[in-house]
Amino acid sequence: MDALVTTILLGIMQGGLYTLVGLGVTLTFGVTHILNFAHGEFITVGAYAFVLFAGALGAGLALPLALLVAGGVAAILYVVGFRRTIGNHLQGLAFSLGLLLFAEAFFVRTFTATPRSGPRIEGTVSLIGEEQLPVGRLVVIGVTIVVVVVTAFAMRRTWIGLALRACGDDEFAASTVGLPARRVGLYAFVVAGALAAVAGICIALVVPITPATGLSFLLKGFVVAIIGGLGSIEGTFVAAMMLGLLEALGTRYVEAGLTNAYGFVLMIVILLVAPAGLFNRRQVRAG
Amino acid sequence: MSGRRLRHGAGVLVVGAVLLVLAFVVPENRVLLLNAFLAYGALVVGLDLLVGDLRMMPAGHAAFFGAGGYATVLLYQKAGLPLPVAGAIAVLIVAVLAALIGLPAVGRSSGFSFAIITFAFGELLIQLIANVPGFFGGSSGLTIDWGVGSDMPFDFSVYRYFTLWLVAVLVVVMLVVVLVRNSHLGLRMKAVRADENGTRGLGFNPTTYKAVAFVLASTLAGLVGVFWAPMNGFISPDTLGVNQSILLLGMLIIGGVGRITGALVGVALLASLPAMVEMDPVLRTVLVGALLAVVALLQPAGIVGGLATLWDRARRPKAPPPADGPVDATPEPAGVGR
Repeated sequence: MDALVTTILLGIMQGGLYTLVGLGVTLTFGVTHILNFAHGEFITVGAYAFVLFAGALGAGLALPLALLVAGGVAAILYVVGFRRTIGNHLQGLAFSLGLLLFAEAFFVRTFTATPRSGPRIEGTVSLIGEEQLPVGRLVVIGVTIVVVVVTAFAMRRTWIGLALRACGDDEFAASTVGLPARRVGLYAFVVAGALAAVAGICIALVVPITPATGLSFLLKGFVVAIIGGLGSIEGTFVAAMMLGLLEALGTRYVEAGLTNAYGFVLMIVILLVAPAGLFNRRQVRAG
Repeated sequence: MSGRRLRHGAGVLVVGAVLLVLAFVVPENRVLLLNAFLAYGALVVGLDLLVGDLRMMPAGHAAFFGAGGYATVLLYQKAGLPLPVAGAIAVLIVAVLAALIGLPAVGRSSGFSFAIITFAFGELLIQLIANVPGFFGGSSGLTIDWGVGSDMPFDFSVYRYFTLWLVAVLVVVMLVVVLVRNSHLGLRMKAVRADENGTRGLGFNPTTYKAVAFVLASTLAGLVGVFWAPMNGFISPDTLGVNQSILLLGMLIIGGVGRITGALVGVALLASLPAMVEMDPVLRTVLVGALLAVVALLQPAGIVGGLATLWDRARRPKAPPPADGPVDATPEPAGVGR
């Protein structure tokens, strides 16, 4: 019973991280229609920035700085590169693949492939029964819940959220009321970069990070964005929680070596049943 | 139509002849490099059937390459079949696998979700291999005990012997691509790319053509794996991972999609050229990635695509006068030649 609680908490934490990544994928794809394989590197950038700044300036200053760095990198990459590739799927894909190769090797060269830990949150508390729950995971769950709720609220109630949703729904109609898709794409990339940095910081809080951290989470982010139905925030959240819980429970009770397989089987089954994803209101195509 | 088929076919045979000569004259320490070029070339040219002709982007193409390799090694080593028989059966296995994966994948997904669903199938294959170490060798891979030093034609080393086979594979792949592009199948694929619903209106089922192209391209990738695995003497799940698949896509897009020359130029630029420079492999990947990103930005149609545009412009009889040309040249009426 207690083991079950720990497993479920682990699943929710993973689900929360997948939500943060999946939201970024959904947002940028919705507005710019770029399949951004380099999105995972925003996670790595955020995580390494946090660990490095925390070592130099303390964790309190490192948090906003890491967010700023990841958001800034996303903005620069968008202005320099992705903005020009809108409308040409192959070009956008090739650019992001190049960035992915570049960034991963660059991180390996600069920081080596040895895992690094930042300021870990240690200690355990017992909330339910005898089981000791690690505080780090609870903090991560709390942070992701807050960020997801704030993002969902901002998407409904703020001007930027409205612009992002409008361009995602119908780019042409949005442009006729004065929303240039290319400018809104910049907002999408900055928001996505910041969300990815939050995910990176959370990952650094509980496990050591490596240059490959970003890519492994990105692939899960793709999976949840697709299962949820591209462009849907609720869908991404539900899909991420399903995936996180399925992975945690499967790893604990079925077979630990197959952790990655559960998510892919889940996605294939769901896409066979509902090709457009769970929460998609209309057909969204990428190519 | 038939003239173009002949011309392209002849071009393929010329390329094949050049590569065959290279297979004989290349110095011993460059043979592996040539083999890598041939294998990557065959993979990327085959992949172009999906990307160039149909604008489908599979993110798991290397999985079929790996499946061909694994099937050959297993049939040769565990079942004791002779290598040619093992290879032939392996190609069939890959074709069946591609049909099993491809039919649901192309029918139920498109664009983004097609890329991710093919990627997921590739990862599932890796999971399968990594979790059955007894049979598949696990994540550390399988070594193939190919008897080195057995009788080779022309006193070739084993690597050079396989160079001949890889040249043959590349020529076969290029011929298949040329034949498909210059056939009715190719025309219908072109129609599907241009307008899927319009094709449906003409009475052709787009899913059929996508599935055919998927199975064909995947089987060709398996064929490359059949020859690569025994040549390399070792196969591991890394060879079929997502990194490999996206590198294939990158090479194709950089060279230029829809053209065999584009695919080969991409392979030479991203795989062969960097490998010839003595350099730290990590730094090499940094530079290759940066090159890929920069070329993608500067030349959206790929290198060969960009050159073809320049060539067309130079050959057009009514080309606009150059900026430093005669000032009294009659200006063209607006809109002409654009």
